[in-house]
Amino acid sequence: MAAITDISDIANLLTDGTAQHAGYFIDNRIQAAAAVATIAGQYTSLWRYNKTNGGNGAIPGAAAVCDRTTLGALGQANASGAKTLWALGWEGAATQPGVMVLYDRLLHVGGLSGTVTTAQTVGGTLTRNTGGVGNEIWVEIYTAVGTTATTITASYTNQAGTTGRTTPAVVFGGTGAREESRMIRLPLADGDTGVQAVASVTHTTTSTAGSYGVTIAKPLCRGFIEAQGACFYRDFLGGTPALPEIVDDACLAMMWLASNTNAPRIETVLHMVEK
Amino acid sequence: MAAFTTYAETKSLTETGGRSVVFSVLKSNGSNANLQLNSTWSRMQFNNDTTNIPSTAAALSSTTAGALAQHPKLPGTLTADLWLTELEFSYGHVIPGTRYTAFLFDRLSHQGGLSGTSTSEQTTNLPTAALTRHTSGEGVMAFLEVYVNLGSTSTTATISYTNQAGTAGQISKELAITNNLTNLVDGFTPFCLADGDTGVRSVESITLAASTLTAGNFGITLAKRIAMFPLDTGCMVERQPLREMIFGGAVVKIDPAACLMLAIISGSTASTGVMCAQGRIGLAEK
Repeated sequence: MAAITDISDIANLLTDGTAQHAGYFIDNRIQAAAAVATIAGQYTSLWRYNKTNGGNGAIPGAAAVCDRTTLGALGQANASGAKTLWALGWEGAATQPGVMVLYDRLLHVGGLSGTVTTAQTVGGTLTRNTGGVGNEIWVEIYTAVGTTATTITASYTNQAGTTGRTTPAVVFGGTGAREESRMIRLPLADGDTGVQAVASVTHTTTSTAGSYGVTIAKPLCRGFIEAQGACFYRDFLGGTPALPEIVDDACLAMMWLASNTNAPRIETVLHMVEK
Repeated sequence: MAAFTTYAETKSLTETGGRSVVFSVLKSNGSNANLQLNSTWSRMQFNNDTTNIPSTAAALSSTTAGALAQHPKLPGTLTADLWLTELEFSYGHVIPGTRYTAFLFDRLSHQGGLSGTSTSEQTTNLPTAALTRHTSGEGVMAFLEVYVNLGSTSTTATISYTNQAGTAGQISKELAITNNLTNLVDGFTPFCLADGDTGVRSVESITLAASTLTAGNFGITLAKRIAMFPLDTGCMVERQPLREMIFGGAVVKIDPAACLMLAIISGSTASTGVMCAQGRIGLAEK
């Protein structure tokens, strides 16, 4: 693995036959049905949305590591040999205003119930970014939970390997925090900067079991769609973050921070080189 | 064919040794109450060509009538590689402040003559013509393209296609044909593929779940995305600054026989007036 030296090096890497331009169109449908309405100010998972390549992400069961071959992932190839894959830029357009978030979906679990009031096991073992710095805990709803708003916490291991850490309580259940495809970020305890593992989640009943899960994600970058029909392009050469590394087997996926109640249709491409 | 060695070489090959394709497109149809389709993709016609409606399946090239690159045409064949290195664009529209995104595609094949009222499996003018570029189908997208308005009754459509591995009989996810969104002229809507598929080699048939109540005319277009760029009409006319594709890593290879086309995604439903766009695609060959 060698460092990228300068813009001339970039020109060479883009045209030597190894560059990747991985992307897809994401429709606002999940299989045969229209996606449920988004909520302004809330995150929506695009994991299960229909895509022009790669397929829909499945609802997880037991805790499982996600990788680049997991259905729903962007599906980039690993860098060859001992090289490193770097993102040079990211582009996206959407039919609705909002923010696209590109993340590495490290691990997910499903089958959790909105009516169980004892600690529900998450578990699993990370295989990427195992140190945990920058990893985030997200609740991901697959079938709507109940209308009773409550709060949820997670018990986790932080970036220093300290177990039994507890996230501050956030709203779970009720309008805006119960719908299919909703994603709810669980902030970390004071002083923590990451997550190595999540042991369990706990909440009081939302009155409907539904089905939800926990996803451990490492966000890579964000793209802002300022208006309907607009696009963005992030240049990682001149902007931030500087050349994000796409680690081997990264399960690249997206979530959407909505500005209105209309589920978006999206076109996106990630440009990568290896060295 | 060799990779670029320096940034200076990239610039030099574009500016002095390359090909600048100048294009002009417009979209005007004062009688069409849905001139622009809010929140969906639509095709921009070269020279407002509303008559060049495909029928039998045809593979397309740089010499196809309606291809974007006319000044000059792409060469068809070339011993060097052709790379997209620059884009610039100017755009005029009657609605100030409208946001659009334009997409540059290589239009690989098309056909028409499909009906918005037939609910049986339609094979008219199908299968699509054999691809002459990107022949594996990897990264190739299939679009439902509307040439004459379909009916106002919303429905869904699926295609039976051969994927990038040559496996026939794959069935796409349902595509929504929605009134005033994807059922109108120039609607250009991509199909989402079956789980695990990454491209389309050919489309064998299409099936509507229900009639739209107007036959209209639509077809299947196979295309490969090349680039996207923003169109912001902060005023009546906006000129986008030159975009050097190296910044952001969007330098991509373009086939010298590509049939370039533009599609837009609109942020407006203005019912009258002309949308016009002119620009330059900078290409370097090595």
